[in-house]
Amino acid sequence: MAPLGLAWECIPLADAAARTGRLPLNHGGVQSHDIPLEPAEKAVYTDVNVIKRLVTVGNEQVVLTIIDGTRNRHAVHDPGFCFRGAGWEITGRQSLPLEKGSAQLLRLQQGGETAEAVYWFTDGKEQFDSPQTYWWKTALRRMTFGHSGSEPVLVVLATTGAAPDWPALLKSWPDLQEM
Amino acid sequence: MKPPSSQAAAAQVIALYVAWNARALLAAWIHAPYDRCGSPAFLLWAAMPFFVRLSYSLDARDSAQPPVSAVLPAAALALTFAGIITDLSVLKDIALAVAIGAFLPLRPATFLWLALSVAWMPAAGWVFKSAGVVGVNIFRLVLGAAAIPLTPLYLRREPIG
Repeated sequence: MAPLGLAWECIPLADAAARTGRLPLNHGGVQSHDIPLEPAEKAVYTDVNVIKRLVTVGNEQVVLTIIDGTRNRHAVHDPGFCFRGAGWEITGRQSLPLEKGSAQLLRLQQGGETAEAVYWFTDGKEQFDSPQTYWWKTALRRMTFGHSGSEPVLVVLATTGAAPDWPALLKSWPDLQEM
Repeated sequence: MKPPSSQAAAAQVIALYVAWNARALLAAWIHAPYDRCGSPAFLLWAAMPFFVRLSYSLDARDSAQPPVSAVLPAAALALTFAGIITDLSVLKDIALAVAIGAFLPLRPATFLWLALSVAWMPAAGWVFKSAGVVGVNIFRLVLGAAAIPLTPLYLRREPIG
């Protein structure tokens, strides 16, 4: 059983780089540029395809992070769990409708600081905000050598300032939802 | 001290293989805030089989060592394989608990002790996250320590085998 387990781990899975790579830096009313990962992020995202950008959509500015855990699924965490672990208190949650599913809006507070984050997982066909669904889909994908579908990626949008009008922001950024 | 039987040696090899596959635990215990007390909880939890086997080793009788389970190492191997093909760490962690459990005499209390292994598993942090980082870590230590009072249940010199 041990050699079979080793062999199983050696079979490569197709990642989501082709899908995430199609997201343009600048298009329509969206302007963005890549920003470097923090040292702590680099440590966590070993063997992970990560896109991190500072994005301006109209008058709003957000940080976009896209995490593809094909080669290290354990780097993709439940964002709600991560924010709590980083010391943020979740003061509110709200479901946001997307074109192919739903996202989760988190209102966060740490000391006197407040922030908001929106996250969802997407495999290109479906958008969902449940970590359990992510674990199930990625487990099934590994059991079937990728034949069950494309690798879901985690998309996180976080505020750098005042909370934006999220539905309006998402509506004016169709490239992100099509990814 | 008698050399380990072939069954005990096989269980040791399987335990090492299962532990290697569960090595992500170390990173979680070091880096994840919810898992900071995972390693002391593991030591508290794993102390019981260690002390049980030590007490049997100190017994002068040749047949003193408790038997090693044949079922639990096989179950641990199957769980590890399931963990590999699904890439789910929780299965590899449960496999580690089961592999260590093979070194205890198989009694009803063994299943309670196995259940207490949630004390050191990262998955418990996610399940009980609403208790907060401090609450989860206290919970880990309490559950890990709860394994220790089970030790006397295994020190009785009942017929073994």
